Formats: sequence, structure tokens, C-alpha cells
Amino acid sequence: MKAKRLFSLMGMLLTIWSAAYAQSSRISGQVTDETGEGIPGVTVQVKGTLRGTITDMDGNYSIAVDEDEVLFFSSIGYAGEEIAVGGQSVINVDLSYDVAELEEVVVVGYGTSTKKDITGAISQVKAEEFENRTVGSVQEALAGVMAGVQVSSNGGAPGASATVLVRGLSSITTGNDPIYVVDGTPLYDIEFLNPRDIESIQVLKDASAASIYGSRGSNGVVIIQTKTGKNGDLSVNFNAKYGVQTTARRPELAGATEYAQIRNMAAANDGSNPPFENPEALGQGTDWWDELTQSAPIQDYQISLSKGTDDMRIASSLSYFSQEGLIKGADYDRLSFRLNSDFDVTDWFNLGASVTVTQSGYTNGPDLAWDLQRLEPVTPTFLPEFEREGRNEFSIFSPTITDVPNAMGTLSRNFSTTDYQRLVGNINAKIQIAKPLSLQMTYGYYGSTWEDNNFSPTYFIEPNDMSDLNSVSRSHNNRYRHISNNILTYDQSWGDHSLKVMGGLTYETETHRTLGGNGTNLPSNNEELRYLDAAVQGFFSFGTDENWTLLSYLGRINYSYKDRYFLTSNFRADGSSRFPTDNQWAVFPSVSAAWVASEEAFLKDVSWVEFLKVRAAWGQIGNQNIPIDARQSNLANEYYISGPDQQVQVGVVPATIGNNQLLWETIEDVNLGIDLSLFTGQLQFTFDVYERNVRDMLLTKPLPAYLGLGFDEQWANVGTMETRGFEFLVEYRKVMNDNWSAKVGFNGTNARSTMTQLNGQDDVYLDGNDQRLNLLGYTAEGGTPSAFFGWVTDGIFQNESEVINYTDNNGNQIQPLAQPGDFRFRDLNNDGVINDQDRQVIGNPEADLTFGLNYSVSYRNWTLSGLFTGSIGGEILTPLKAYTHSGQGAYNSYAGLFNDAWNGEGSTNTQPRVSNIDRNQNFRYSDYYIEDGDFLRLTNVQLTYTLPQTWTERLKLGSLSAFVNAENLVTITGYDGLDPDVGGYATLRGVDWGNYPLPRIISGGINVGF
Amino acid sequence: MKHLATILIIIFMLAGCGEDVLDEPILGVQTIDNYYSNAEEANFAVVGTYASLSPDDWWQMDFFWLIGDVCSDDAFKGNSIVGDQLDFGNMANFNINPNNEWLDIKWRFSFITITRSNLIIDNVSSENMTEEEANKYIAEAKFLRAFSYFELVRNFGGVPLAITQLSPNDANLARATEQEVWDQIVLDLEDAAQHLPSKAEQPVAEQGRATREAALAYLAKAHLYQENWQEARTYAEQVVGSGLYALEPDFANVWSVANPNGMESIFEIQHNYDDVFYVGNALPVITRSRADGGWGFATPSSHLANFMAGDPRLAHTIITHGDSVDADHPDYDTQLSENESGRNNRKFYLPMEDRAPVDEYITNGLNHILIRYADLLLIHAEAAANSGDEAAARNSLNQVRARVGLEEVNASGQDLLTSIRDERRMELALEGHRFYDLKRWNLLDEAIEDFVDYNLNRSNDPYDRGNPSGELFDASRHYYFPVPQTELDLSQGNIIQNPGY
Repeated sequence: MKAKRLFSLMGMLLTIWSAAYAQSSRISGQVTDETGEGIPGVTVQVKGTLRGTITDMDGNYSIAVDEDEVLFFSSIGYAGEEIAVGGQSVINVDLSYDVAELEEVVVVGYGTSTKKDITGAISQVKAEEFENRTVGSVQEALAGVMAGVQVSSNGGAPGASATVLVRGLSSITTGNDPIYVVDGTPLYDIEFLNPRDIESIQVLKDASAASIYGSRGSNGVVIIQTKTGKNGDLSVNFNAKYGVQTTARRPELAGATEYAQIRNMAAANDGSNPPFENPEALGQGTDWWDELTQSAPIQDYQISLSKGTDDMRIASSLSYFSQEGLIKGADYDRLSFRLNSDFDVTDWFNLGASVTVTQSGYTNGPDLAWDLQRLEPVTPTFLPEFEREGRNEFSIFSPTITDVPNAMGTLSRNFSTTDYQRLVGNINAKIQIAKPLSLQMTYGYYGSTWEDNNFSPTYFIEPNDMSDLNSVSRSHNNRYRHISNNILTYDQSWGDHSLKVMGGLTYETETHRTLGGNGTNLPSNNEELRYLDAAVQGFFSFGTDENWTLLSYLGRINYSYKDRYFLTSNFRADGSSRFPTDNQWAVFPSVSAAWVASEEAFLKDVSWVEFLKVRAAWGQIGNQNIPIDARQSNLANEYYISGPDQQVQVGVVPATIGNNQLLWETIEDVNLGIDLSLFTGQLQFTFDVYERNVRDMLLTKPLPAYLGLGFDEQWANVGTMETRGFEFLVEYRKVMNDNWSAKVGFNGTNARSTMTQLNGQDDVYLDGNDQRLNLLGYTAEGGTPSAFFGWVTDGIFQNESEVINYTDNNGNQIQPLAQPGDFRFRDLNNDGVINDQDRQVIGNPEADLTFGLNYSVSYRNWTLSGLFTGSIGGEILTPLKAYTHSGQGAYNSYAGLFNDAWNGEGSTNTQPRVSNIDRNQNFRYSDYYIEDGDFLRLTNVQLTYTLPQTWTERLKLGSLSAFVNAENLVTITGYDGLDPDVGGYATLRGVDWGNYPLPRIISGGINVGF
Repeated sequence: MKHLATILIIIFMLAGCGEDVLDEPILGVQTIDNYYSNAEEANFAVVGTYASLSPDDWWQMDFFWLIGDVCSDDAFKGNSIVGDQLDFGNMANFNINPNNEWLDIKWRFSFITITRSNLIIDNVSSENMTEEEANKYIAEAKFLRAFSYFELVRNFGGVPLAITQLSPNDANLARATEQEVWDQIVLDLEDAAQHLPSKAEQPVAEQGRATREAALAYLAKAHLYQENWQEARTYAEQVVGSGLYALEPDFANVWSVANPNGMESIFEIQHNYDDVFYVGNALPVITRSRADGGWGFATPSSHLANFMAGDPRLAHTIITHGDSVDADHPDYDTQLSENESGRNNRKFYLPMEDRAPVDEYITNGLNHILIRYADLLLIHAEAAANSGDEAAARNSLNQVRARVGLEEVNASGQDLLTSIRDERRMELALEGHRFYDLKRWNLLDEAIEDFVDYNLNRSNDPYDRGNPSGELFDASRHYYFPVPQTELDLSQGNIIQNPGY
């Protein structure tokens, strides 16, 4: 290992070799806008080199250049400008506003490009789009703002991250999370990063763009640039935000009276004695939802500093974020410190370093959302006062009458905390070797360690909910990653030709170690004794070590002719330690081209066409995201007793079935796109259509139980999948006059996946085990991954004769066990019985369109902005209805079941009778559980006031703005559950398990610049 | 100098080509390749196979032993809270569908034992151990494989017959016929009987593992299920003839934490309390009264209690509400409000001093007896009676009766058979046999019908009168349980469901 680390550090040592070469005159100047005001923060770059600087607060710059060099001035929101130095010593530049932002710098992975030059499918979002939103994570900030990027919230548990899908599914069981590249360092975990530290986010969506990340690019690449120092005097900013979360929607559940009525009704239907004598007397009973939920604060503070001189730039920030849970017992907080620095050592050698240290902590609330909806309202939360005597604080809760334990009791025993420390940083050196040739070397490090602490007290609520032995455990989980990138770039233009060639080597290695211990029988439940030292028995420890390495060679050629024809080709060869020795290496090429038609003569004079580009791309990427030990069959220990003293003996058993033939999964896609900008950039339009094919898909196969692995599954290269889709972005901006300006953008995403081939004919992949409905997600050849598959209902038998007359061709009764009030199921294969053969695909979780609409209207110093998100055409499976809608068992029901349930001829044709016996299996997996998942949500709305400059000057402030903000204010949907935005993963999507409730957050804050 | 840097970079890139950079071995685990290659490894593998009989931390496997009682006239689901283990209640009420979790667990874990056995049978050879050792380990594996197929066939009928380690690539088995499964069971047990050590020769440290006599006893049982009376009788006689077993003089001592692998025990699952490893038996806590820290399942019926009225074994089989059980429980509370029949299982009941201090549901030390000498004597009696040797049948039957001081039976013909069947019900009550016995006697429908009629119409028992459990029994399908839905769904049509499901 030491050798490897040394190897990755060698890149840095190389920077010591330095060579000086001749440098000539220094020039200076001012960059101004159309009104003549200096523009701060403009990048001034010597074309084809690494050398550059940034303008100060007044737009002034100075830089050393050769006479034959060309300066390139660029800044967000302005058209870039190229000026040949010639013999000048002062170069003043007017930049014009560029609404089309065509020259805006886009980070494309191991290099940069401009929007104009891009040939693949890349989206970008800037800090200002999410800066003031109340989002705890980077993923949430991405929701609804980009075409082709779908984000599902997964509810609002403190510190929980959202699901991000770039262009739908690309894999079945290896996860679909994109890779995050923060300042050049590829990471899987970006929790360490405060969204406020981000300058820009770009997402590489198609294979031609992502292939430079080879095996990491299969689910899309999210490239994040963090804020860097700006030239000029020290600037200090302070941001504060405070908000309150409430549940956006609460479930409507039966009160005690209705609960008792429903149970009595079920008993009557089953011919048994009613369990409750006088339901009306019970009243409302316990409202478990009210007892266990709360309105919870969310806070976010940051102080940041920035300063830059001619040869150095520094930015630093300190942030604190905290969120309490809507369901009691959970909270999360995060403290992060970040430092970005950048030094021009000589005019050909630049050194940069950045580091983030983050500490975050969770109190892991028990997962109670589902329990809360099933607990019976007739049970009080606490025992009556007189029964509590002699009981400890964890035992004063009433026993419940179902197998769902008293949720208040569960909450009282919640002593599970997780503390994270993360250190993420990199050092990079840019060396101009010769004029067109430069070298960039980066050493990146990611270190995280988390510590889990648990304590379980002794308690007794009922025989099924008790513990005679307390226990305590602690575990550590450490991850160390070393990343070395070494990139050579050649950049040369001559005449109408421009050529950029990049080649490099990257090396990544990770060590993952765990250590944990457990002990039992502490002297008491006392807070001071909840430590391993106090345990006297049951000692148990574990420790694991996992390592993986990825070695890659990569290259890229960009060629353009007359700024009109663009050609890009990427290449990456990846070697991964995860695969069997013979299959470690794979090569991922791509090629893409673009034609800027608006530069052609025939369009040049069409005044209303500002810009028109047509793009075409092809590429391959890979996927290696399998457990490191998937290639081999491992053994594990189990224990048995033998001998006269009944001694524990160690047994060795097969634990996994390895696959020594595993290969890389390959993803190949084709993308066609068009970018259009009309009316001097007021109206912009981007449209992409693509097809993606996945082959040798890495999949865990559930195996027949007779293979003897219990619940274990094997990794295999199984099947192919095709995803087709389109995405679009339309944006309209208008500056009406000095007072009014407005912007509105609409983006939409469609991604349709089809499992073209699984492991052989008619193979089916099933996922998600629910106690009542069994396997929920159905992925079959030729179908959508994670479809819903079950029986088809056809109304309810209203009377005995309908039951008797439901016969097959031979006159045999099809549902002999049914009674009036039971579902009629369709006998799809007409064989006279309702069995497995009568199931079909009954629903599809895949949306036809997910969309986002953002808007912003400014009047003088006021800005109203916001975001709508929505989804059309997806369906949701609701296994919870087997409890809340069936009246079976002693679980609670939704409010209204007593009236809705079938209760005599003609009463209803959709809600069967309640029964505990249910010989007809009314509540088997059928279309009864499928609901429409369409929704339109006002995800965010925000009103900002910026203090006029005259006032800030009087107050001796740089800037001051204040805002109020609301998240998830309104959701319009026909869906009955808590939140239609349920997410999931490839083979199990659209299943509402009773997710954590979505928070509605109302917050306010200020941003002050000093 | 510029060129120097370039050259260095090229060298640096080439340096990365080292093949071993990508060599990351999996740490801390053994792989299956080349395992089973010596006596020590073979022994570990065999212990691991026994462990699957009651997987640690997986109390559900123990739960299934109660199916033999709750799916009969001997016991109810027990715990009257409908939502508490609803699927277990669905089994007891014969409201059985292919999604029932207990069937999935029984099926899945039986095949885990079979697969572990197959790996031993396939891979252990006398290359690096003595032939005797290799034969013994293979014999234990065959015993456990036969045992698991026995469990599967009597619950599900014919099942996929995997007798060698299968790769996922050829996972397309259909169900073998019931007879094919029985033939394999007999074949395996015959091999096992040949190479297993006799109880007399078994190393002390291995006490509790399979013996030749255990294999012979299961051979007798397997033949009994197939009504091969002569073979059943012969094998039973070999066990009797070994002279290694005797009935416990005190019936109360048969099920006792203090008497593991007692003189009457032929094969039992080994359990003990341990601080760290969950190697305990779940049944004591599953069946105990909810007022006594138990879960209150599989409560005995008054139908059984009446049947045993006057039998000295009754007090050691059933706890009735208000019984004086021991010094700590002079007036036993069966938690009537949550108990379907005001009774609890006495055989699995543990006095306070024998209960594990913590996590009782996975830590109690009571061994679970699967076959004992009284069972074997009754197998012999039944096989002998059916093959015409009534004297021998009466002799075995009366040994069982004599142990508890009951008078001799002198019946013959059908009466003798009935006496033997009645004796099985009483002697082995609540030990998980009744459903399977009724089934092979083809008396299941008759018994359940009588049970329901008794409860609904004739009973005057204060506790379980009026309980309709069993009402849904349907003789056309309930002789076999349905194959788990998951297994059907994964079989691509190769596995056909049992009729009626």
C-alpha cells in the first residue's frame, strides 16, 4: 500500500522540476461593461496557456505576456473577447452583455470548454439558482432545474439525500447515482459540501461527454466547481437562514370509534363476536401521527471571505447547517470549513490547494412513518399513572394489540447516533511546459470516518416488546481515497484551425476499514453507563478491510474549423481491481461533432437567429459498480452446539456465489441535439434526443431457493436494456426597462427504458419483498424495468348470484370461495381458476414527462422567483393499503373505510368488504394498489429584496439583501398517499412504502456583504 | 529543461503500467475454492450444515415445527391477536396461500441445508484425510440432506431434487415426483447408516451429531410414510436391537434443559445459551403464556386435553389456566384475553432457572427433539401391526404405555391400529407430528371436521368453545402446502403449483 501511495504522490514531486524561460512585457488595462462600469472577476487568460488573472473590484488587471500572444477575456453573463497583444501595453476592453452566454466556460472533465464549442449533451446550473433555497444537499438543489436530470426527494428525513437520475435508468442493480467530480476529484459522497460553497454545477449526460470518465460515467457525471477567490480587497459575506418545517400532508386515519366500527364490521362479516361493545364511546382515541410528529426548525449560516492579488487568490468559508426531524427523535447538523487557494508561483507555474473539513452528526430517528399509519387508535400512548410504578422510563408505554410496537416506546429507546468527519482536499499544479503544451497534476484526497453509537435499554412493555438485557455498541467506518490525475494539454490555433489535444493518466485507490464492538449487561440503564467499558458479557467485535484500485489512461482531441465545425473525440482505458484478472481492462471511446449553422453565410444575415447549432454524438461508457468480492465465492462462519457440555462449535458455510467470469458493463449511446438562440438571445431553446443501450448488464440475480443460498444473490453480466428519451429546455428572458426584468424557463425530461434482454427467454427479475404483496418490482424481457405485475380486478360481486354466475365456458364457478362484497378477478387465461397465470403488468412507475418550471421577476430591488416541478404519467404502487384499506388484522385503517367498504348490494364497486378471513384473497397484489402519480408542485417560491447601493454605502456595507422562502408550499395531485414523489431504484421504483413525510419549509434570511 | 519534464512525465505514465497495481485480494474471508480439502475443513463444513437446522438469529425456522400441531386438532394458532403473526394464523386456519411467509422460510432453509450437504458430498474425498473420516463426513451430509428432503416432501410433496451442487446457470429444475424424493431419502439414509458411527462409538465431543441409529430411525420413519411396513419394521428393529436407547423412566424428563441428548433421544437439534452467539431455541418463548413473558402461540386445544383425560402424560403436555406448574407459578396465568384456548404447551415450558437471561427467543438452551425412542417404538408398532405381526406391535406399544403406568393393550386388528394411532397422539402431542400423521393415515379431513364440529357444536370448554379454526379446511388441497410464490415466479414455468392453490 505504501508503494501505491508513493506512486500517487509522485505526480506532485514532479512539480519541483521547474524550468524558467523567457518572459516579456507586462500589460494592464480595465475591463468595462456597456455602461462603462468596471467588471470585477473577469477571467483574463493568455490563449493556449494556463496563464491568466482575474480583474479586481474595479475591473482592472495586469498580466505578463509575449507580443505574439492573444488575450481572452471572459466572464459569466458577458460575451467573451479575444484581443491580440501586438505591441500594446494597455488594453482596455468593453465586454457586451451576452444573454446567450455562449462563451461561458463549461467544465467538461479534465479540461474546460465554452458553451459554443460543446458537442455533447451537457447542462449547467449556477449558484444563484439555488443559493437562497432551503436545501440541505447538493442533490436537492438539482431538482427541476435541468433537462434530463430527475431528482426524487425520498421524503424529508434530516440529512437524507435525494435520488438523482440522469437520463433515466442505465443500470438495474448496480445503482444509478451519478458520480460527483468536485474540483476535479471524483467522489461518491458529497455530503461534506455545503451547497453555498458551489460556484457552478454541470452535468455530463450523454456518453460522448461522460466517456472521459469511462467506467464512472455510466450514470452521468455531475461536475461541481466550488467558489474561488476573486481579485480585489478582502470581501466578507455573511448569510443566515432560519426556517420551520411542517408536514406538507398528513395521512387521514380512522379515529378510535371508526376503528372499532371497522373491526366489528369485519367480525360480523366473518361470523365472529364483535370485539368492541360500544365504538361510539371511544371517541377519537390516540392520534399517533400527532403524538410523534412536530414542527421542526431548519437553520443555515455561513460566513465567507475572499481576497485576491496579482499572484494569489484565496476564498474561505465556515458553514453551519442543522435540521430537526418532522418525526420526533431525528436530527442532523453539519459544520464545514473550506479553504480554496491559488498561487501564481511564476508566470508558467501555478499552484492551487483546497481543503474542506466537515463534521456532521445524526441522531438516527427510528423509521416510524409506516408504523404511525398502522397503529391502532384505541391504545393510549402511555400506561395509566398507577400502572407505571416500579417501571423504568422505557416501560411506561401501553402495549399495542398488533405486532407494531408502541411507537412512543420505540422513540424513547432511540439512542442511535452517527458522527461523521470528512476531510476532502486537493493540491494541483499547472505547468506551462512550452507555449502550446501544459501539464496539470492533481493529487486529491478523500478521508471519511464515521462512528456509530447505539444503546438498547432493558425494558418491558409486553412480551413481544421487551428486553431483559441492555447492550451497547460502537463501530467505526473509515474510508481513505487517493486520487492522482496527470493531464497533458496541447492547445494550438492556426488560421481557421483550432486543435486541442489532451492525454493523461489517473489513478485512484480506496481503503475501507471497519471496526466495531458490542457488549451487554450493563449495571443499569444509567446515562453514565452506556459505554462498552461498563458491559460485563456478550463481548463481540468485528473488523473488515476492503481495497480497490482503478487505473486509467485517457485522451481527448478537440478540433474546430472556422469556429463553425467542431469535432471531439474522447478515449479512456480503465483497469479495475474489481473484476477477475483477465477481465480487468476495458476501453471506452466516443466521438461527437457539431455544426454552428448560424455562422454560415446563409444565416449570418438573418437577424433574429442569434445562434443555431446542431450536434451529433456517439460514445461508450462502462460500469464497474459491483461489490469488490463479487468475483469469488466466499465462506462465512455459523455456530452449532455439540458435546456433553453443549459447547459452541464453529461451522463454515458458503455465504456468496461468486462469478469469475464477470465483465464490465458497457453503455453505448447516440445523442442528437440542437441549440437555438433567437431575438438576440431573449429566447433560447435546447432539444436533445437520445438512445442508450446497455449490454452485459451487471445484475444480481435472485436465484431459486433450491440453489441453497437463502436470500443471497449472485452478480452476473445479464441482459441488455434500451433507454430512449428526449429532453428540452426553453428559456425566455426580457429586460423591459430599468425597473422590470423577467425570466422564465421550462425544462422537461422523458426517458423510457425497456429491458430488451434478460438471462434468457421469458426471464423475469423480481425485487422488493412485502409481507402482504410479496415481490413488488417486475422486470421482464421486453418490458419496463420495475413494472407492477399482478391480478386484475373487475368490480365487486354484489350478490350471491353474481358469484355463482361467474363461470368459465364449462359452467364451473371461477371463484368458488368468493362471497358478495369480494373482488371479481379476471380469469385472464380462461382456465376457470384464478391463479398465478392470471397476472399481468398492471402498472408502470416510469413517468412520461418530468418537468421543472423556474421563473424570476424583478422590479427594481425586488425579485420574486421560484420553481415548479412535476411529473406526468407515472404510477405508484401502495402496499400500505393492504393494512390501511383491508380492515384485516388489528391495524388501523384510513378514515372513511367504515363507510367506503362494501356493505350490501350496490354499496360500492371498488372497495371490498372488510374481513379477517378473506378466502377470496381480496388484498392480493392487484391493480387495486395502483394509483396515478401525476403531480405539480410549487417546490420553491422566494421573494428577495436587495438594499439599493446608496443605502449600503451609507451603512458602510458591500451589499445587503433579505429574503423569504417557501419550499413545497403546494402540491396538486390526485394521489392519496403522503407524497407522490416516491423515487426508488431501478428494479423497484414508484413504491410508496410509507416514506418519511415531505416537509413544507417556510424560512427567511439575510445576505450581508462587508 | 522543458524536455526533461516531458520525458519524466512519460516515464511516470509508463510506471503506472505495473500489473500488480490492480491486484487487490479480498481480505478477511476464506473462499470456497479448494475448501473441503482436509479433515478439519470438512468438519467445519459439517458443523455449518447442522447449524442450518436452526440458523442463528432466525427464529422462524423453529416456529415451523409448530405447524404440525396448529394444522391439526391438537392446537390453535394460540395468540388471539389477529395481527400478531397473521400468516401463522393463516396456516392454522387453513387460509393458506402461496405467499405465506412460513412456507417460504421452510422451503428456503431446507434447501440451504441441502446445498451445504451437497457441497460436502461433492468435494470431500479421502485424498487428504483417512477414508474413514471422509466417509463419516459424507455420511453426516447425506443424513442431513435426507432429513431436509423428508421435511420438504411431507409438507410440499414432490420438490426439485438437487443432489449435487448446482451452478446458477443450470437452475432450471422442475419438481421431482413425490416417489423420486422418497427414493433419494432412502438412498441417502442407507449410505449414512453404513458410515455413521454408532451412538456407542461416537466421539464424546461430537455428541449431538447424527449417528447410525439416527439414520436407521429415519429410515424406519421414511418407510412408514411410504407404507413400506416391512422395511419400516426392520429398520426400527435395528435401532431397538442396538440396545443403546431406553425410555426415560420419568416422562417429565423427556423435554428438559437438564437432559440434553438423554437416553431416549435419537436425534435432536442442539441448543444452548451463549453470551455472544445465538444458538438457542425459540420455541419455549414462542409457546409460553403472554402473561409469563411468552408470545402465546400454538395453544393446545380442549379437544386434545379431553382426549388425554386421565392420562398421566397430560400434566406434562398441557398447562391449563390456573394450574400449579412450579414454585414460581402456583396459579398459572395463560392470559385468557389473548389466548385462544386458555392453555399452553408444557413440553417446551421452562422453569425460571432454565430460562436464558436475555433475548430468550434466540437463546434458550432447550434441545429440540426430532426423533426419540418412544416415537420409534410406535413406528415399529404401527409397521408391525400393518405387516401382520400384532404381537410385536403390541409389545412396542405397551412399552410406551408401561413407562407412564398405563395398562397393556390387548387389542388386535383395526382396534390395535387405532390404539397405536391414539397412543401416538398422546405420547407425541405438541411435538409437531400430528398433522403429518393424520395426513398419512388419510384421516386429516375426518379429524379436522370433527375438531370444528366439536368446537362449534359439542364443546362446553370455557376457553375454546366456539372457535371456528379449521372451518376453511379443504381436503381437496390442504393435504399439501402450496409451493412458495417466489419459487414459482423464479422458475419460468418449470415448477407447477400443487392443485387448488
